[in-house]
Amino acid sequence: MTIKSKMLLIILLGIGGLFLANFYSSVQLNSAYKQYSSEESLTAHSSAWFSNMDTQFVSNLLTFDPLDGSERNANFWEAGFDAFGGTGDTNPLLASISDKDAETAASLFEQVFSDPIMEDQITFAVAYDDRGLQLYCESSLYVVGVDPCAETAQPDYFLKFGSFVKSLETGSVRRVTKINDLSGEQPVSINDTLAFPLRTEDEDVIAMVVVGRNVIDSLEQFAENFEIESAIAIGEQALTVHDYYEEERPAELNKLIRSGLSHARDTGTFKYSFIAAQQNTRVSSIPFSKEVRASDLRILIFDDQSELLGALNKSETIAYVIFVAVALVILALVFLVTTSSFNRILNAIHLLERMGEGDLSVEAEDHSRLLSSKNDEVSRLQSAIEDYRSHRLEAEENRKERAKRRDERDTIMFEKMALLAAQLEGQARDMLTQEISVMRESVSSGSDEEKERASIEIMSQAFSRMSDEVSTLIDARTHELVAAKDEINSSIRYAAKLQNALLPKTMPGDFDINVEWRPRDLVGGDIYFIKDFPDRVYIAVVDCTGHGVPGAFLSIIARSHLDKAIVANNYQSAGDYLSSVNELLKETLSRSDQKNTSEEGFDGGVCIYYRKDQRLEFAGAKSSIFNVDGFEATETSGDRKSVGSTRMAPDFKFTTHQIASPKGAFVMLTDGITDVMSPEEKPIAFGRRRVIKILRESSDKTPTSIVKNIMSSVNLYRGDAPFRDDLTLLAFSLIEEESEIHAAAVGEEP
Amino acid sequence: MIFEAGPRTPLVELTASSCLIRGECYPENISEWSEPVLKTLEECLSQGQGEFKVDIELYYFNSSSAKFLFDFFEFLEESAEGGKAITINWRYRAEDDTMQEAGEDFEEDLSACAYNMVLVDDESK
Repeated sequence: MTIKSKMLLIILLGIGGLFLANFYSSVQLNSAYKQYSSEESLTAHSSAWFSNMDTQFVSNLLTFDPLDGSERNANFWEAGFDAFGGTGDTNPLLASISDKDAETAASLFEQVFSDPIMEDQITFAVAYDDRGLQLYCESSLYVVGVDPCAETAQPDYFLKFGSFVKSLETGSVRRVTKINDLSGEQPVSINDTLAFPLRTEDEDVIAMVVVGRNVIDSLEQFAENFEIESAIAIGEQALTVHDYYEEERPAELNKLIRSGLSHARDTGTFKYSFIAAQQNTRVSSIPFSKEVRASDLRILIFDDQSELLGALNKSETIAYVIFVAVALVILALVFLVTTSSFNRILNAIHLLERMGEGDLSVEAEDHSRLLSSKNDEVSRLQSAIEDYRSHRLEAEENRKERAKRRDERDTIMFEKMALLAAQLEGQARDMLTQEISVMRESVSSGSDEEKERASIEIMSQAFSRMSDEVSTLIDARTHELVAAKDEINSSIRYAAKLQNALLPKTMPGDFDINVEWRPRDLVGGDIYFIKDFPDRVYIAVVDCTGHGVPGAFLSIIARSHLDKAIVANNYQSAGDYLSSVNELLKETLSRSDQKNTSEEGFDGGVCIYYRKDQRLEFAGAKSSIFNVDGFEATETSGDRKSVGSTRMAPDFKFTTHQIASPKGAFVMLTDGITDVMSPEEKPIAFGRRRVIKILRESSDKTPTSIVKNIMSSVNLYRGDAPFRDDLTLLAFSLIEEESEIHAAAVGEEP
Repeated sequence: MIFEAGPRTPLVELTASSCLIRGECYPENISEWSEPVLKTLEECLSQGQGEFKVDIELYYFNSSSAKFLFDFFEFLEESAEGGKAITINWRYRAEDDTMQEAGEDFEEDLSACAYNMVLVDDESK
């Protein structure tokens, strides 16, 4: 079952449900309405009936009442009054009755009643004496049913005459009187009657008068007023106007009477109203009067309702017709909408199916139609599919573009590979050529993805080939570089040997000397110099500008000048000595490079110890000599000038510092020591103060332990930081006891 | 103009009215580094009209960098002699006797420039 059929079925069922609900409610409504109208008519009819009866009674019967009647009539029954034309103060009627003068009494009664009977005000009047003998009876000429004055007439009160008489003792009585025809020829007559006693002056009841009206007149009038048929129900019997006029009852009426009577029998109620559906007639039953039981006597009313029922039926029919029509229209509209929507959905599905098969050429149907709009669900679905289709088309375009570029790339690759193959020889060439043809095969067949994979494969193979070539080349270059580096390294190692060879190997016997010499690289600009002559000893610690190989070169020059500047036989102050080194160095450097602008030269200090005078002289170029003796450590600073510097006058005279009778240990060092930096972001140099502090605080003041202490302090200070410069630390002290022996020995030597 | 600090070179900030040098200075080839600095300094000095303030806070410099500093101060001195108002603040830390002495050394060579030895607190301590 398709969704469309399901939807239509659901709508159909929904409409059916609504129809049933409507039907049920309309039935309920109708019956409620009928119920309401029944009660309404019951009330209306009974009040109309009673009021009619009462009016008739008051205007026609009650006028004869001795107490409530009209003056004229009441006077007839007045004991002490003659209303019959006489002048006496006795009532001739009462008197005649008392005298049992029946003839006179009858004539007097006639005088009272003949006119009203003639005028049809009353139907009959009867008078009885106290023993029940009929004194007078007169009835209307137009009487219907049994004549009350006929021999065979039997009013119902005859059956219980004693109680009838007794009921009159208290006064007049209104009652409904049925008069039967004992011969059975005439139908029973139902009369509204007033019965009253006639009393003497002594209040003795001497006669009874009954005046009555046949209710058939009222009934006729009632039926006429309400345009209804009616009947009087007496127990299980019914009496109609037709019976009185000796007509045949219409069959329809008989049926209605039967159903009315049977309804009372079936329900046990006597006041009711219902609609006899067959005859389109409302059958109502109301009590005849307040004086009799409804079970004994009641009025049946037959009210033709065909007009009302017809109207009800018609409105119901119209409602159903409208309902069905609306339902059909809705169904038709829903059918149209669903059909059109589902056709469009089917179209969309078809489109998607085609796309799934790879056909992107089918376009969606135009969505501007009756019962559909641009932004309804299906239109949105269609435009989404359309978007998707255009994306797919775009992707397809891209794919083609990619494939084209790939082909171009592959072509280039093949050309390069072919070029490479051409450069190879023998088996390698054959292999590569074969590889190329296999690759050509792989990129020219198969699906797009396979081609893409093959293309990438080719690229990676080509790269691998090329990288092989490149790595072969790199290997060759690296090999060269390693060889070159090895060569340089071995050169430098050899240079280091040479520089080492320039360092003093023997120490003067009367000196205790300990040195830490550590170029930053294998060679460096630092150098120390010790020259032992019989009468004196030269000790120099020098830091040439730069480090590494250039520093080492400069150190060789410096060393040669330190050597050359010595004046061996005459006295030469330390300052003079350093000044002549400066002069020599400046000469050398300016000769070697006229345009020299850099600061080639050295910082450093020189000491000359004169053995005979036991005197130590010191001169320094940006250098100090430290002395520690006992707990006292002092620093003697040299001049703040560098040897050989361009800023330096060639004839600058360095200051000579005299140290007579030197005691304790002396320390000379290069800035490799003092410029060791702490490993912080803003580092601080080790500095000379720390050197002095170490000297002061060292317990062992021998050169060996001094060097050891300073070096361990420096290493601790720099932490992980590498040395930045070459460093030289030289400590010495004089071995005093042996100095004379040594001097003597030296003296002997030449 | 800013010359960012390198592993072996200090930060140099030059404007028309000021110069700041801070850090360590021991490049392999001093002239390679110093030439553009000195050239910019020259430009700055010629551009600016008013006073020129120089702050130097060095932690270490090697002997070839000392040559650069000599040239640097010499240039300032010449400008000052030419009428430019130049103030030099040599900033050093209390514990750093090496830099203190170096600052004192340079002071001896300068007369036209206003030269101050400025003791700074080392906030890292």
